[in-house]
Amino acid sequence: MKLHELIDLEVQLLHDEQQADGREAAGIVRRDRSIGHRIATELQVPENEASARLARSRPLRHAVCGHWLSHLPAAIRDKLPGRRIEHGYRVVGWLLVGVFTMVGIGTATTALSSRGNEPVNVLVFLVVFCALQMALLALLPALLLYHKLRGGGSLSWLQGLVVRLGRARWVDRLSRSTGVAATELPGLLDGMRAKQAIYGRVQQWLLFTLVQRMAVAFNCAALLTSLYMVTFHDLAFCWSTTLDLQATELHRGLSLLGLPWSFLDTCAPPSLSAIEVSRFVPAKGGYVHDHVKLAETELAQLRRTWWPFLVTALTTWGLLPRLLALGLGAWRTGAASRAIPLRHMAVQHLFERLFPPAAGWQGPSPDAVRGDAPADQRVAPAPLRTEPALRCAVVCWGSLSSAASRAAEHVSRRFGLPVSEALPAGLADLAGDQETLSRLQRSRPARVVVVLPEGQQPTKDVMRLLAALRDGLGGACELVVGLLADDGTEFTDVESDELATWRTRLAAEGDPYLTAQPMGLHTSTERPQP
Amino acid sequence: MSEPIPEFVVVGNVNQGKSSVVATLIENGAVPIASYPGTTGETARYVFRQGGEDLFTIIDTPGFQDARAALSFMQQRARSPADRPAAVRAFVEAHAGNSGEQPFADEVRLLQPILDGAGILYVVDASSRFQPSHEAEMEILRWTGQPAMALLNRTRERDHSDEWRPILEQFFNLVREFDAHAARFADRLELLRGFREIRDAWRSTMERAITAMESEWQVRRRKAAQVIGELLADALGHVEKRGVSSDAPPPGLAEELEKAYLDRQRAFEHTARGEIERLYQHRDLERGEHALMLHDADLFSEVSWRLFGLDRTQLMRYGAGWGAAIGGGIDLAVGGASFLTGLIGGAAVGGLGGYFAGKRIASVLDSRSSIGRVLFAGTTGRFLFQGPATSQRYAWMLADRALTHYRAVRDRSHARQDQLALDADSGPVPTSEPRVAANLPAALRDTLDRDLRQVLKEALRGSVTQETRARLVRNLEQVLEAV
Repeated sequence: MKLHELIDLEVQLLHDEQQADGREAAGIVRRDRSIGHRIATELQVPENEASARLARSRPLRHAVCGHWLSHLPAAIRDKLPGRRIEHGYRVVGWLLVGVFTMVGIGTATTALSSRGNEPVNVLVFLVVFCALQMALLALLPALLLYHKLRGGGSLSWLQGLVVRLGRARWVDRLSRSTGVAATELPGLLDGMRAKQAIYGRVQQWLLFTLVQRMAVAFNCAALLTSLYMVTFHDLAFCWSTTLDLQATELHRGLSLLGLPWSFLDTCAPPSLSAIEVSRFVPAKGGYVHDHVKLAETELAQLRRTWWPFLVTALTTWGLLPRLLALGLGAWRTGAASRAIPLRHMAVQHLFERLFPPAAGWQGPSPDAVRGDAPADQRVAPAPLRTEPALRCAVVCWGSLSSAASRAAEHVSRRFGLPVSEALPAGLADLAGDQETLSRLQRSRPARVVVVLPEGQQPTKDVMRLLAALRDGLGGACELVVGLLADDGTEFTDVESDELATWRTRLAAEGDPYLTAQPMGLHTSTERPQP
Repeated sequence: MSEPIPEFVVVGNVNQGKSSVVATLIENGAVPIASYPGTTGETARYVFRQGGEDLFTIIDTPGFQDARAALSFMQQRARSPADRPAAVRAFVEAHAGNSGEQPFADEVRLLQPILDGAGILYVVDASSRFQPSHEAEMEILRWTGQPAMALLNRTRERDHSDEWRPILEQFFNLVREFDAHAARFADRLELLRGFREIRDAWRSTMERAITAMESEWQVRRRKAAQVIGELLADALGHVEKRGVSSDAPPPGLAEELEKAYLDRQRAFEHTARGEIERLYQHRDLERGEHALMLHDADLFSEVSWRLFGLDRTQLMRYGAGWGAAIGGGIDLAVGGASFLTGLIGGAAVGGLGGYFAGKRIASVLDSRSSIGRVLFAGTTGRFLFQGPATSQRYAWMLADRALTHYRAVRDRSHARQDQLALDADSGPVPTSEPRVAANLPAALRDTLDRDLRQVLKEALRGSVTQETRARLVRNLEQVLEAV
């Protein structure tokens, strides 16, 4: 992915993550799902395999992210700052190239200028354009090695500075010009800093490349200025130093310097005699060449042989390494961009939106299927009567019918009342319920305790019986519902929430004489609770 | 014309746990579940899809309310066994317009999909006793003539499975026990394998669905490893900074820095937990407030330090091992002239360091410190900072909490509506010691220890490299498979 795409990706992902819990969340999911279909078609990736393939293939992750950006609605795409930031980076780059071109011109002009009667000192030229640049070049691999050993993070200080600056007031103006909302920029920069491990190498190589462009500009300008000076000025070269440097030593040094192009005669280092005749001693006000017996014109010719060497030295030791470094930087920037794993959390979320899990469930919303909660129709509960002679009947529901006598005894002990009859209901034959009802209508008990087996729910089936009892026995008959757990020998109470379910259901009937009661023998007759 | 996809309708009496079974099977905690009958008011169809293709459907239904009366209606219309399917159809047609409190509204809703060809999953609550109304339900289902399977679910501690099983076997070819509240992924798959037996024509589709679910499960594990890996690398490598304007830091700055640092660690963990819960479809997992719930035990509480991470012996062993390695390196560097003093001394120091490792995660340092100069080379201005983490004990505690949380979320049934509790068996008891990491196979634990040390080491140099993160994630995948 290109630089502007990486920036756009992070900005949009940050924006989407901020909206993940907001009102736009559903819209983002729909948008990305739709884009996912298109990407699957364009990249010919079956959607059910996309997730697994994305986990394995980095190029696919890059391709999907690139396609996603290109398929975003135009309104979103136009606001993304990637191209503007990349443009800004280029502008800054060209500005720096311009500055360093001027510096190159100035440096070369200065280095090739005569000072009064003193000819051009080649040592200055060689130190500035060869020795210094070679030293700087040697520092490069050392720096890269240092950062490699440190494990990246070479630009964290720069990012920290940008974050601090980004919080300044002028962030508004910057953010408007780059298209990033003011509130997002510090977050974005913080986010990028947090993603140092992901983007650190790209940033490092981008900076490296920028520096090489500046250096190339400097050297090109110096080279062209040198050629201009040689062409349009009559330059006289010399070498002059306070140090104890002999012509033979300088010749040896220059021969080493010129080794890479030693096969080119025209650019070869000056001969020993040319070096000897080029020594200039300001104190004497002229060249020192006492032992050389040559005509002045020949001497001048010898002194002119310096310039091809100087220009070639500048080209070889100044320009060429920087061109190579620029190429390396461009190549490594591309490689580092391609090597970005793109598997951090925000990207994973994007992939899940684009290609939801290959296998999954779809169904209605909970509210669409939820039944009505029991109506909270409370009535003032009537207390159970406690007269000793109260006539009480028991109706045993379902499986409790087979233990009717035990159930009757239990109810009798539970309420302290004699039980006149125990009748079945809830059996396979509906006619049995009707028979029970008829018998109760004849006996007219003051209280009917309907005992239900554990787990019995307030179904319409049971509620129909209760309604029939109410209709048949009149409004003043106490109808008590109790739940019993039966282990075959004795009855125990059920769990409290089972009773609560019944109480809630019966309360909805609005009948003060219809109650659900605990049936444990330790339980005292309590005031009925709806 | 394409073959209709398999459909399974979940039926049974009200409040038998049908929706719990459905919620567990479809991994959806939002399926309405409550203790009052009639929570499910409408039929709900949940379709399992793979890559845009519908594979099978599970239909949740309201449940039988009045099966005895419904059967009675049908019996009056079926003069011979051959008439029974028609009698069921006549019953549905006769009451098709009913709703709410009108008779048989729920029976019609649950029978209609069966008449349309759905297979039957009859759910009974084995914590209740068999009742005549249940027999009426089973009889009606038998009359439909559709293939059926019975599920013994339990909503309470009481267990009457022994009473139920011989009865169910009279009506159903397949009877399975399925505890919706405790079912894990393997249990769900096992149940789906049972679905294959209901109708032979559905076998291949169900096998594809099972394969898709297994594949999806692996993808989730891989993503979970990524989440935990990023948590460990980001949290352990995090550095919190505060600028200092004068020579003497203002009072309370160190405390403020430490608080911010710990809060950020908590935030890292909170985010990762949210990701894991989202991966496993537990979107609105309720978190308890009880102080003893380990899930809620603060990252830096006494409970966490005591219960998570490696035990002292393991920390001592790893400390001794790494100390010996470093000391041995020094011995080698001096050509053995130290007579193994480095190795022995390193092992002793490392071992004791591991055993008595304290709770300090990272010191508050000045930008002028040697670590500060390494971490912030080129940064101007004076500041205090805390981090990256240097404590191996903390690294293990963080990893252990992440693993424990992962396991609890992964194994949590979507039917459960209680709070998430983390313990040794992912059960509800919050007091037992978790120590998932401590009980890992030794080889995996060694690998994870190496990775954590590498993370700590690289964090001290400025950032954790992509290579180390990738290796950590790869190894975590194996760890997650083992827990």
